[in-house]
Amino acid sequence: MAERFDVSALHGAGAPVALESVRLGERLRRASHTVWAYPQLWIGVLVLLVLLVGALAAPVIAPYDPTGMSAALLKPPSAAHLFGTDTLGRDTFTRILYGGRLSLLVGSTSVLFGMIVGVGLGLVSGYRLGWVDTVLMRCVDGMMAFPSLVLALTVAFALGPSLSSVIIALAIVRIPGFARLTRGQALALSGREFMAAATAVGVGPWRIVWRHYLPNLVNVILIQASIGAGASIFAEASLGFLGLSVPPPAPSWGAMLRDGYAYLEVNPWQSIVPGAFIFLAVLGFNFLGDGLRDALDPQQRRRRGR
Amino acid sequence: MLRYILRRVLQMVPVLFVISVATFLLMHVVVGDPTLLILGQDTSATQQNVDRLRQSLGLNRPLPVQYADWLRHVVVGDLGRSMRFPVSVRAAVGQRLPVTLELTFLALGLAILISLPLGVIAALRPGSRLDVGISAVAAVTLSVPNFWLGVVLIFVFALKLHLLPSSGYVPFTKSPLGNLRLMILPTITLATAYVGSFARYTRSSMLEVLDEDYVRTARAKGLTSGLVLRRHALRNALLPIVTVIGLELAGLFGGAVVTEIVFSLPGVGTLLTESILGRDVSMVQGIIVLITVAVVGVNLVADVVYGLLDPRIRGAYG
Repeated sequence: MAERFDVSALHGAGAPVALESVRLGERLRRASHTVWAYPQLWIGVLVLLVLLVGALAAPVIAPYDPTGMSAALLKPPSAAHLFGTDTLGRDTFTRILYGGRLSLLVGSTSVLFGMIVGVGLGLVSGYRLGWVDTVLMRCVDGMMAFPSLVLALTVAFALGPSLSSVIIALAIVRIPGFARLTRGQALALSGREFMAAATAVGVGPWRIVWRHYLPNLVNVILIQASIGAGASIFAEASLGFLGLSVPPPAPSWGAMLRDGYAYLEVNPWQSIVPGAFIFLAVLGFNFLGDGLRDALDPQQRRRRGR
Repeated sequence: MLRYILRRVLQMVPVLFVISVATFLLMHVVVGDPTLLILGQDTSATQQNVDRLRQSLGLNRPLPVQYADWLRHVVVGDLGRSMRFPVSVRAAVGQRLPVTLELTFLALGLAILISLPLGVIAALRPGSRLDVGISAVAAVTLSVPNFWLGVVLIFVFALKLHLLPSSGYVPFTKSPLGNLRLMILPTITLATAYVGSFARYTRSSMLEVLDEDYVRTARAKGLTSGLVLRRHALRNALLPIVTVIGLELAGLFGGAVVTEIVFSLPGVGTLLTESILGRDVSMVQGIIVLITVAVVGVNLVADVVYGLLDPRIRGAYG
């Protein structure tokens, strides 16, 4: 999957995307009427729902213990083992379900933390401007010079292999994107008349940020969060593939793919099935993000010629 | 133009400073005392030995002094020595670099070759079935995990069809044909995600340009649509793509790390992964400095090229 940077990076200070002061709820209600007009949106939601139900209900659905070994090594798919078994005789279907928990947990939490810090920094930068802005943005530029996978690898390496270090590493990777997007949008907003009006009637900075900046930024942040969650899941799988995600025997799709890769000739299912699920999860979030962009952002839609 | 370039170079300085401090701190504060790594399991190491090693490595000096000392060496290209093997970081990276560069540029070339025509075709008939199809393909390729694609390609083309070798590396100078045969699958693996990404940018950039007044003027004065496309629209639409390619190069390198592992290519990515797993701190540090400096450098080149091609940019920032 390619790195996806926010479009504001391309336009320097950032082009305003969707800035009409309509509440998100209202916008969503309008959008729901035409949800069928956005195939990406509902395909994304559908894929994610299936994965989420599978992950949440894993203890109920899963026929075996995710770390329970058996004598049936590297078996092909059968009625007893839907996706076959791995090198230690563990049921791959069960491990896929439990691995989904890890993927979705890492994807959502890392984006949440990255979003909180990134949006915070972006608001401070775009609102205060001056030297604060300069220092923060140079730091963001510095972080962006790291290929995100290399940054994640480095932080995960420094913190040691554990679930929390993977989440922290991937959260850090997400910060610059959110910071830059928020700053660009905040800058575009600050030139608008209602901002000047709010300041003129003596509204304090906290209230301005809370009541005027954030509601107008929700759309673009939501879109970025969805695409970011896909990128985080892909990054977690990459770390797993390189042997740097959560330590075994916890099931991680990336690590399962790597373990199965060594036996590609004997049993291709063990690497191709986990990879297909990584693909589905990333696709779900990307489609959700693209679909939201189409549904919430009329300007973009016009540009896309729909 | 010179002022524009100078400005961009000066803007790089604080970014490089941030990168260098981050890399230095990451390794020296978070990883902790490298003497423990060097002496490792050697239980015979007395406190005296540890102290002597710390002394000789200069680890007992204040952190800013250590940083300044480290930076002085890095600036002149001295990245230190590997903690695992008797080689300098520079020599180790230099030996692996050609593989990574070849892979990256082949993939970049392939992605551009496929994606630009796709993006232009999609933009010419927005909303058409062809456009929707191309957009769908772009959306899907953006979500394909490169390492999985690599495994599937190896399974189909190497193990099932026996058409191509599954992994390994031969230098181009030794056997040009053998080298290219080995690079086919890795190149496709790395390029696929960027086909989707570049096609999207080309499409939206093209749509924007086709909406411009000068394109309408060109059409109005009766130029053929082919001529309008080539002379007026395409030239302007491709300009922002230069910047996009520069920005995506960082990600391309990240993808190369994984691709090299899948295909057992002896590149910088493999070296980085091995060094991380072997806790070779100085090697990791050196590779990261080189990668980030390269990324910043490439972005600078992309901006300068953009400025050369588009006088409006020079005017706005010069």
